[in-house]
Amino acid sequence: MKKVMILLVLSIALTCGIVGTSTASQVGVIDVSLDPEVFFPHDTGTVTIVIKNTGTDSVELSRVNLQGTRSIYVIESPHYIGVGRLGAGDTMTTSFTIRAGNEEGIFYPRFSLNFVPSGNMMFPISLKVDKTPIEAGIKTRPDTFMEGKKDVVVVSVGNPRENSLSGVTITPQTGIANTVPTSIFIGTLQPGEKKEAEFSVTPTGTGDITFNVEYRNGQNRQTVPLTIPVVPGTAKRVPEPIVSNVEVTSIAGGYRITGDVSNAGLETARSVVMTTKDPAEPIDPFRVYVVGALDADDFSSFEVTFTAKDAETVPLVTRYRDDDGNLYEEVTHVTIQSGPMPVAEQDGISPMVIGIIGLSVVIVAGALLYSRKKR
Amino acid sequence: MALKIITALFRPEEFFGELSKEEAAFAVPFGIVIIYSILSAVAGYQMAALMAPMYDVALEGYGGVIAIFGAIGGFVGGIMVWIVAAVLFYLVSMAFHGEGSMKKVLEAVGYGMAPLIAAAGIGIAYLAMVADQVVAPVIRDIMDTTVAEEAVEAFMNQPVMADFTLLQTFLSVVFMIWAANIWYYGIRHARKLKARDAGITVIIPVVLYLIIVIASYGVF
Repeated sequence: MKKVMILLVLSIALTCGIVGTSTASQVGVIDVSLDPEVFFPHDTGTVTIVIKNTGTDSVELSRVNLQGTRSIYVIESPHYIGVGRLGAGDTMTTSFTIRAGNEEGIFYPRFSLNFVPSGNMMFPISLKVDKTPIEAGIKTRPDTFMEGKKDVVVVSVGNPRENSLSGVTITPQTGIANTVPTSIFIGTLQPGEKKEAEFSVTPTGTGDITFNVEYRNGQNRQTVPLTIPVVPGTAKRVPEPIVSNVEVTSIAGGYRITGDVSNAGLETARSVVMTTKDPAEPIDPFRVYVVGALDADDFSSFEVTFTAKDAETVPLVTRYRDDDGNLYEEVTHVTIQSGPMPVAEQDGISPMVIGIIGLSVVIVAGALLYSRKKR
Repeated sequence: MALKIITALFRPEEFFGELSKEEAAFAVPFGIVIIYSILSAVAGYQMAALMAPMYDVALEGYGGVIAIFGAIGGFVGGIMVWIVAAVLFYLVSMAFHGEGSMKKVLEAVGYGMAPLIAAAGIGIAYLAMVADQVVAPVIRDIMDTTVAEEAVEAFMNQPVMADFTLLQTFLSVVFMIWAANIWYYGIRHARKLKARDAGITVIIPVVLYLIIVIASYGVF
């Protein structure tokens, strides 16, 4: 902008010097504005120029024109031929539609005025074309996505350009994940400014997620796609409840399973609940056993009661949630007896039984011998 | 009373020789029978209480009733042993022209049941010790006799119950032999029998009983 102002002052001075007429000397360009301020290659924009008659007499203008350069094309001009008179102290605003070419750099399309009966004025306009795009990247993403598990993806956008960018919007596009929100509007990014957008991504399959960063430079829409592959796998940091030390015993009306549930993962398993499911039917008193939160490397005992008819194994269900509230279910198949009760191995006769029998035999034999002793 | 019982246990010939000179008195023998019956009732209650959970589904809420019936059965069974043994001895001894009264036989049989108190007491104490290890399978349909039989079989075949059954069988055999020894002298004096006849009178029912006990354990 500063350069534009300097050029504007120089232009007024030059114009007066070159033309050297009283008519030209009293008319000058007092403001030039560009939209956008800095063009991308192939951007379309406008140049708005304000001229003023600073003299005491009116001036008659025959032509108002903007001359393009080798990389700046004037695509729409008012063609002010025979514009008319510009009264003393009056101003006139004129706009031209231009389009940048493929090249980067600073270009000077020339604005000119023709006066009646003679004389003219030229004014070079500084116009910058810069193809530096918005800086967009994935700031945060999980090491491994898990199918059905909600993870956070953070997209970061920054504006390295000299002009502000407006209407910045980030929209995820995918057919293999649920993303929330479906779009985030960031708004205007001033030069050197950075903003972030956080998305919750819950994969439902394997594929790609593309985050389209859309923004406007003036009236020109630009898009930067950011694509990340989604290959659901086993995450490294998850709760991992493991059931062990399982014992099945018969109780009145059914069975009881007791055991330990340990968290062998690296994250806390929350709302851990133990129960059984079909073909088992939970019964009181422990239809469901609520273990609660289980920290990594922690364990808890549990007890569930159920009935099961014509079943040799029953599914022991461990339900838990991760920190995001995602519900998981692990099933451990527990064998119950095929008959009505467990068949225990007979380890031989109890020593106590042998002792009692032996002692009884000795006592009774002694009593019999004593009773039959001749007296 | 205690002296009489001890004498009957360890010197039955001397004891019943003296007793034969007196009229039949039931106080002590009946006391022995009652104690034995009470212990049998306790044993019956114990066993029924352990098995009651098997019927919790099919006969919900009747566990207590089953246990009480077990106790009544045990008590009545104790009395029946006394009466049945006496009647059998009396009848068999009739073949040898026994002369004594039924009262004297009942008295002698009552004294002879004293060793059975020890057998019952040991059984109760052992079962009380191992009761918490006993697992009762559940019978869901009591009308399904096959399942019910399997459940009872499984209940009796679990190690702790198998040990108990073995102990109970041995105790029954060993202490019944002791009781038979006392009955031999008791019947001999009560019915005024020869030694051989008294032996046969006692041995026949006792051996039959022992065969039944051993057979029920599954030896034959």
